[in-house]
Amino acid sequence: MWFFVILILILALLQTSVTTLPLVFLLFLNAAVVAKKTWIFPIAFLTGLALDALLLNPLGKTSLFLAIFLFIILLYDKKFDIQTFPFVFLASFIGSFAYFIAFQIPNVFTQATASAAISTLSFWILVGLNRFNIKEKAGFNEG
Amino acid sequence: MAKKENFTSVFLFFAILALIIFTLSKLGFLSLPASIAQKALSPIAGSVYSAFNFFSNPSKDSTISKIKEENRGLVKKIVSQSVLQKENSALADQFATTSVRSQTLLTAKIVGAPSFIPGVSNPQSLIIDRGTKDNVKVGNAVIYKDNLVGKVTEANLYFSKIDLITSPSFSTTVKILRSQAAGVIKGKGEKQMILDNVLQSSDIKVSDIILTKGDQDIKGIGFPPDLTLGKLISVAKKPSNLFQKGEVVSLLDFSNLSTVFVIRY
Repeated sequence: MWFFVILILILALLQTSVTTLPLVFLLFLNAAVVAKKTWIFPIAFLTGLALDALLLNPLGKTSLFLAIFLFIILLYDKKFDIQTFPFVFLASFIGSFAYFIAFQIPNVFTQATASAAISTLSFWILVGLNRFNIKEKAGFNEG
Repeated sequence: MAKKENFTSVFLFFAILALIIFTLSKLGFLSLPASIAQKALSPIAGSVYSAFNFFSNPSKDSTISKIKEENRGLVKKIVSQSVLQKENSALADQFATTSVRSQTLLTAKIVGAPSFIPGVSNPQSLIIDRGTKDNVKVGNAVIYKDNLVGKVTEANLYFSKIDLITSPSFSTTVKILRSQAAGVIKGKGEKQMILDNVLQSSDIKVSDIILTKGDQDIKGIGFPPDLTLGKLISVAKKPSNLFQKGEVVSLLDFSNLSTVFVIRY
């Protein structure tokens, strides 16, 4: 959990000072896909407030966006299998696209594609490390 | 089913809370807590930006950087000379008057400049460490060595957000230094701007310097005249169109800036 919190801090600092890519959103997306726990919501809420404060956005805007998108991801879990690469890629792309539109960031398509690629890569690393016992489900055929 | 309801209730709680906070923030009730939160978090963000700026631009003393700096200095001299000539002729005529308002330049350090690919892409906005407690207001012009950087679009107690001149949401009235032709500049994204609404009969050509025309209101909010916006790199003149167009590139490298100046009144 501490590792997750430190990672959130690092990515939030990068997102507010260096890059426009929604790194924090991608992290929470991956966390929702692999962990599927309710603790994601309060952490996303607090992180969203911090991001809004640093980027001079109206407080609550990022928190609302994160909450809604994470809820949609978890709703999808009831009907479909979300721990797959195609789902992570599509969800990252659509979510990033919506993020850039909502926060008026230019180069929407290019950045959404880059975000989806980063998210899929990080999911691949998570699965490869086998921290969440989803290797087989994600398509890693062993033996 | 129980798991789904669990998600739903947690989601509803935080979504409603976020909505309430968003509404209060929009109405201006949370500006102080937001300022305090940013004041607490920004030193780390500022350090990250400074460190990244330092490591992504190791060749700041290279020949190209020096030439760019010299070029900016020369453009500044050309503009100053042109303004002096105009003032001299106005004084000599005794009919034209120039109103000079006292200006206060406030030094501001850049603590954030998010861009798509850091060090490669141009940022669209900057976050500076000056806010309303330093008398910074929304609409104030921001410059760097007589080059217009952008304008303040958001300001809280300690920090402000600047929309750059290359941002798609930026536009202002401009004039050409050489021919005094008037036009409108609009940001295009990345490092370029579009010069539009220039009459077909106006004389513009590649390498012309573009200056602000001046659109300050009675409170001093807006852009003072004769600030450099950039250089014309292409001209599109079609007789069938009402106006000429052109592409303008800024003389500044926004991704390398660490300090800017806010014009206050």
